[in-house]
Amino acid sequence: MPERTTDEVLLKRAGEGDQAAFLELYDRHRQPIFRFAYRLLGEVDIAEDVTHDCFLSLIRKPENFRPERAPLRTYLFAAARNLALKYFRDTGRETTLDEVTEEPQLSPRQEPLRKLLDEELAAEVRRAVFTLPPLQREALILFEYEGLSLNEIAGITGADVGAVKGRLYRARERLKSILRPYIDSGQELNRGREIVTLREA
Amino acid sequence: MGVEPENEFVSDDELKSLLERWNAPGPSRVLDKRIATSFAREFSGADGLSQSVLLPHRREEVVSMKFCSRCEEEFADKFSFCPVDGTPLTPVSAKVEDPSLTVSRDNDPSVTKAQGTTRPAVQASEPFVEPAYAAAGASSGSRALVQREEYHLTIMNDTGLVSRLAHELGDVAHEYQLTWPEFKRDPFGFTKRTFVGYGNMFMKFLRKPNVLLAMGAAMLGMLALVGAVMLMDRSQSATTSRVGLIVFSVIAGGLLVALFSTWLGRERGAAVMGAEPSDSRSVVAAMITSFVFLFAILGVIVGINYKQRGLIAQNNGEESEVADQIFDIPNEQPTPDPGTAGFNKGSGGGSKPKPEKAGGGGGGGREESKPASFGKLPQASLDVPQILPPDPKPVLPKNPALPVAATVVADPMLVPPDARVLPYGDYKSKSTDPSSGPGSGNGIGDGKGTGVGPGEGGGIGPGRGGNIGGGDFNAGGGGPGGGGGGYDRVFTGREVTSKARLLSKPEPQYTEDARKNQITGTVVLKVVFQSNGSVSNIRTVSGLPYGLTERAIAAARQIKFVPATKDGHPVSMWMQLEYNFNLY
Repeated sequence: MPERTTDEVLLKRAGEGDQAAFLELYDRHRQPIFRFAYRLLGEVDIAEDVTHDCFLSLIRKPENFRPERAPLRTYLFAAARNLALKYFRDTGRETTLDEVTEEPQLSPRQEPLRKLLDEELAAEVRRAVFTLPPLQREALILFEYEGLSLNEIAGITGADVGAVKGRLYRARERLKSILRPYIDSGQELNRGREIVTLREA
Repeated sequence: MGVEPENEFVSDDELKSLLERWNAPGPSRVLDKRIATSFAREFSGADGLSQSVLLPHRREEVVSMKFCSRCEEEFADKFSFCPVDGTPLTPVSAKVEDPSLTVSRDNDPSVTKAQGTTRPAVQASEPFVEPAYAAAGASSGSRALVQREEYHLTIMNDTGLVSRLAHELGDVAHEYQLTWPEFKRDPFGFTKRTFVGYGNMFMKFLRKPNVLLAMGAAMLGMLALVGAVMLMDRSQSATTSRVGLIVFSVIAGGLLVALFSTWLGRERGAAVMGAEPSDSRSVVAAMITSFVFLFAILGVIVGINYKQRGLIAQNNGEESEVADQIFDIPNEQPTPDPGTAGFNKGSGGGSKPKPEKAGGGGGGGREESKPASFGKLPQASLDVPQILPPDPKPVLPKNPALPVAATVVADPMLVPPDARVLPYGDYKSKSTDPSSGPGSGNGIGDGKGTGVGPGEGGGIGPGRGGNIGGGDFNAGGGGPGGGGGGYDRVFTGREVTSKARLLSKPEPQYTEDARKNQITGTVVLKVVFQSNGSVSNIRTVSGLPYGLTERAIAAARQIKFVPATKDGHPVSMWMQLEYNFNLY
């Protein structure tokens, strides 16, 4: 069975000008990187910019990626994170709650009431996540949403595992306190969704 | 350390399910296309700088941070000096994301609103990924630019000029807004810091290699240009020295070119122009060319100016301008001996331009027994031959066909006309009995000839051969300025103090015949502008047929003018008039 071409091979070919290889590489990683950037920054446009620059850096500065140190995915997350932090620093501000306006559209095949409730809940969660300081937020996003290990997160953020643990812990505690009123309704919603799924089936 | 999940940090299911509510959208197709395009461009030979899309709308701020060496803070690019202590700021490269820096942000309430979070105890430990590595993408696009300080890439966005200007003005206004409180707090200190800062910056600029040299060269060039223009301007007023000035400036220009070409050795010339040493030959050539070009332009300007002046002069001539106006101011000349001759004591020797003692005399008589009686002298003239000698008891024929006045042969300058109602006689005699005297030759007195006095000839007084003054005949002269005859004679333009000034000058009309015969040309008249304001002694120097000369003379008679003056006295003056007759 022919093994899947590794990221490193694809990257090497991309570095030689193979667009297909580069796009393959991009296709493999674009979703998590974009999601991460979006959740970190809160705006689709900036997230796209970050994703773009993140992937292009593979071509422009190939020497920055050293496969013996970490897998490509970690490198990409780290690059995206640094671009995002750079953005925060350069704009001189943190994305505040008021400025978070654009909500991602969910699947249209939803019951209106459910949709409304879902959207409201999603907005609340999002708002809660954005109250976290950036370092806690990035740890939470990488851990909860992207499912990375603590070691990987530590590699990406340049902190050690203990620090990541601490951030994650504080982030969770904070979120729990903020989102406590919604936890029950979230469970109800979950149950409701199961019912809807059954009906549709 | 293993990658196995640590149980105590596996999240609450509740929280996890809640967090899952927040879905993130997928990357758009636009992004996919953009990535593909950027990749293609990256390998198509186009410079990677062309699409360094690191957060494009914030790019300029990414590139431009400045660093204060004293307070060790970074400031935005719009600050030239540190707002805190006024130190000139230096551009700084985009900094690598430092983990410790980011950790400290964790507790920055202004940024994160995180209240009461505890600072992690582990922040100082070694990062897993070294900063340079972690910052891989972060500064890849811009860092290279900033680190090479001498090369700043300016990316012009395609917005309109006006909006860009408005943006710039807004920035400036914002800057002033920012510095205003500082100024208000400490106006003197602020001003001082500003001056010190700008002074430092200027000195730094001056200390750069070749800056002084280039400034000096530029100043020299400017001075040369200004000097040349001033010289040209001055040369317009002084016509006589203009040619000399032009020659001088051409020579000076050539010298300057030669000087520059030798002074600018290969390296130095290249450095002045900011070129590579290998280009020095072309630099010198370019400088010489530019100098030659400069002087060519100046020459053309002068030439045009000269031609225009010529045209103006020609136009004036077509309108029958008085042409004989250009004379030098007369120089004063030594006066002849006073009282040598004539009756105007102390007023010179005669009509001749150069001072010269007059001589000669005359006498006569009609062999009467009584001495010559007292009387006035007749009109004196050296030009007109004497027809009638003076006679105290003239026999006047009735209704003479050609009346002739008695004259003596003498310089009229020395013998002014006598307007008294007296019979002719000897002005020295005391006898009142009319008599011509015992002399012979039809004159008056004891002498011999047609004159008056004891001498011989047609003159006056002792002496021979006419004129006055004693001794042999000599037409004396006082010259201009010598006062050899007062202000009655006709002066030339050189002799007067101020020339006659025209008030009105009627144009001559064409005659019908001249028009029919297509006569064109110039009538030149020589006239006297009398001290009493009339035009007399009109003489034709060159004329035209078919009555044009007569028309010109008629026009000349109607000229109104302010008489010329000499030493404050109105005097008569010779003028040459030119009337151009043209048919159009």
